[in-house]
Amino acid sequence: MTSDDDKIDEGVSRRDVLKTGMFTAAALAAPLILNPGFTPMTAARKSSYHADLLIIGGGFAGTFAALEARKHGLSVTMVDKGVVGWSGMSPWASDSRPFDAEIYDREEWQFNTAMNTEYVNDRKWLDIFMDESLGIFHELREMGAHNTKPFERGTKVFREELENAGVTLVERTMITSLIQDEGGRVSGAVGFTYDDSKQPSEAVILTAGAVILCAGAGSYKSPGFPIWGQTFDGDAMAYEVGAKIVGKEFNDTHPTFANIPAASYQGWKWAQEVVGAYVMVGPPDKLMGGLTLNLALGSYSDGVDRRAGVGPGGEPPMVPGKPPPGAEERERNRKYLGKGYLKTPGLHLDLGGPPQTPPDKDNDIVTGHRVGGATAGMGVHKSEGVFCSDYSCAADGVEGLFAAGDALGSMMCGSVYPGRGFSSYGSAIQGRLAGKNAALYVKGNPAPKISFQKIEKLVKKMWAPRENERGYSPEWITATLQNTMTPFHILYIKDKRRLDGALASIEFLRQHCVPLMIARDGHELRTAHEVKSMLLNAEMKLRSGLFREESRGTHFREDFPIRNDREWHCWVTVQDRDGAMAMGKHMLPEDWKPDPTKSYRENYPRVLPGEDEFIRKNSFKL
Amino acid sequence: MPIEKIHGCIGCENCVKACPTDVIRMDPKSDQAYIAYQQDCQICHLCRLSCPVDAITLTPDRAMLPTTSWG
Ligand SMILES: Cc1cc2nc3c(=O)[nH]c(=O)nc-3n(C[C@H](O)[C@H](O)[C@H](O)COP(=O)(O)OP(=O)(O)OC[C@H]3O[C@@H](n4cnc5c(N)ncnc54)[C@H](O)[C@@H]3O)c2cc1C
Ligand code: SF4
Ligand code: SF4
Repeated sequence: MTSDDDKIDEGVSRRDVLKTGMFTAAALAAPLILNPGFTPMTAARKSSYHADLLIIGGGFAGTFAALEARKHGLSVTMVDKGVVGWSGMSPWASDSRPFDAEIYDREEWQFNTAMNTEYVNDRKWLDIFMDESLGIFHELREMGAHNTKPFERGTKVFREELENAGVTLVERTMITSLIQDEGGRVSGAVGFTYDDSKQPSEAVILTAGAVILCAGAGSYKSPGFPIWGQTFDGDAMAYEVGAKIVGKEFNDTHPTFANIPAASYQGWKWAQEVVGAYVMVGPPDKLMGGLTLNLALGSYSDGVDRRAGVGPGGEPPMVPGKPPPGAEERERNRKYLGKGYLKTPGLHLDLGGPPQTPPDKDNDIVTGHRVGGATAGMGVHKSEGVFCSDYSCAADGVEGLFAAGDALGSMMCGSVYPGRGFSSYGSAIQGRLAGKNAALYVKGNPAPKISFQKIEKLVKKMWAPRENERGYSPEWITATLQNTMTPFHILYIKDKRRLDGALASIEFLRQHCVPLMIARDGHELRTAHEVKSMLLNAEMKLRSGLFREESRGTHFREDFPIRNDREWHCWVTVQDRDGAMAMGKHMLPEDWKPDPTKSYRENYPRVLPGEDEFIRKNSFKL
Repeated sequence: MPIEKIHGCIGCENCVKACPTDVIRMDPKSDQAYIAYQQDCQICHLCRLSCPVDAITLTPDRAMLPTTSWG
């Protein structure tokens, strides 16, 4: 699989839009607010770190990458915008899905996952997952990650493991750009400390022989899911140095509650209350493909249509009076966890049925119906992110850059998250692989030639919102982005006209408002860089959604409500070409296509709204 | 209102470290935690759960920012 099959989208590019000059008129019309914290940053202090390898992000991916690189003898710096073990998505994972060849059937996992994720999942990554996941389970257990009380997240052990292994931790430091050496090789990153309550913000410069991006995924800080610290910064930084980004047309659709839509804790504490973290779940099912469009389709077509799939964790609907589905599997997994160890209070989330009103026993809160949109902007776990076509975790076409975990676009889960439990261990596996390959890379290459002029430029760009006297607050841009992107009829129920409309608005924010962002302090500077990443992601999502003129998995086009294997059995990539977003198609192996001897409906049992009619009208030969 | 108040803080800084969105800071004068950026609270309760003296109060409601003003 090479990049030869990539082609450039001939549609509107940002360059074309700029030429029209429409931004100038709008700029004159917009009043700009004053930056109350305006400060020249030329005198800001700098601190520098150097190591063989730099890892950005300290969740499952970063931790396993760092430990592996240390085993290969590399010195490692790990930087995180929060605190290792506490930030990112990693502290929230509750279930795992290790593959045990003694219990499960490899072929069944492959077939079910392919059908579930509608044939665009990477089967080789799934193989790697099946080979390695049980090992990860044992490693985590040795670290003590499973010896947790409710809400004492297993990931807390990561920090100690890393310190014991001699990894230098640089925390509460927001990374904004990757450093490239004179030849374009990625050789570090720049960022800043944002906690200026005690000391003013400092620039932080980290140089290394290679960088592994483990910065996680993102969302548009939509209410109801505890991932506001995740804003696609990794994708954004990688895109800026020329990496390809894949998987943006597919969406995650975790729900929240109608009456308290912003309450992440109320929505997800059920998973946190599991005694003994990392409950194991069994093989993926054919159709239970979670995070389906159900909630969006429910809002759209008056009622949830179960035929399009069911709940987010891969669960079939709960039947009153019957044990929760999956109970049997969990029983089997006591083989590892031990008797009496595993208690899973209410560990079930049925999104396939009609909206529920689960009681909140602690707070007497009326939570209301389940509604979608809590993770607006987030792609499918283990799918979207930096593209690597050769399973090495090295970013295609960029020297010195590796990615793992949610930051890597491995497409392991294709167009639909096939069920809880692939993601955390998947991140760990990819982290370890990236750690190994980055170590080989650093050992096999001379030290990079760092250009301090280039670093100065990046630092200047980073401080810009502090130095802008007037402009737009990151908070306002974030709210405008949310209002543009999160409605279900933009991101989930797609249509060309609506996507084009949203794209025009996002382009305007990127082109006109971002250069004029203001930040009154370190905290706002962090949010300014976050919204910049979120806007870039929004453009990627809209362009990828427009480009894929078919429906598949969580990508539903009202104007193309049909799977089209002939043209779209592929992954869609975006890449920077001279300031414009170039679209690419990465065709998939013929033998990953659905069974040609079976009918369309046998291969694609989920019926999409308007699909049958579309087939009839367009007399498709299926 | 997401994170609502901090009362009875003993200054251990756990909540500052636990908060993924930098809502809480330490006041260098009093050495106590204070709510610095309430608008960025995602109501995840990680601060409350890490507080040894249960000083933090949260509510599940939150007003969304109107975007009618420009800037
Ligand atoms: C509520 C919830 C429930 C989940 N349940 C499950 C489950 O049951 N099973 C499962 O397998 N998975 C689950 N997941 C998914 C799983 O947690 C993630 O896929 C996995 O933890 C990702 O690990 P990671 O290391 O790739 O990224 P993360 O854990 O997200 O780590 C990324 C790190 O990068 C840092 N970072 C980001 N940007 C920057 C920047 N600009 N500068 C510096 N640092 C930065 C972050 O602070 C963070 O620490 C769940 C997720 C959530 C939110
Ligand atoms: S609830 Fe979460 S986001 Fe809000 S202050 Fe506490 S830790 Fe921070
Ligand atoms: S965790 Fe509790 S005691 Fe510690 S600083 Fe925060 S509020 Fe104060």
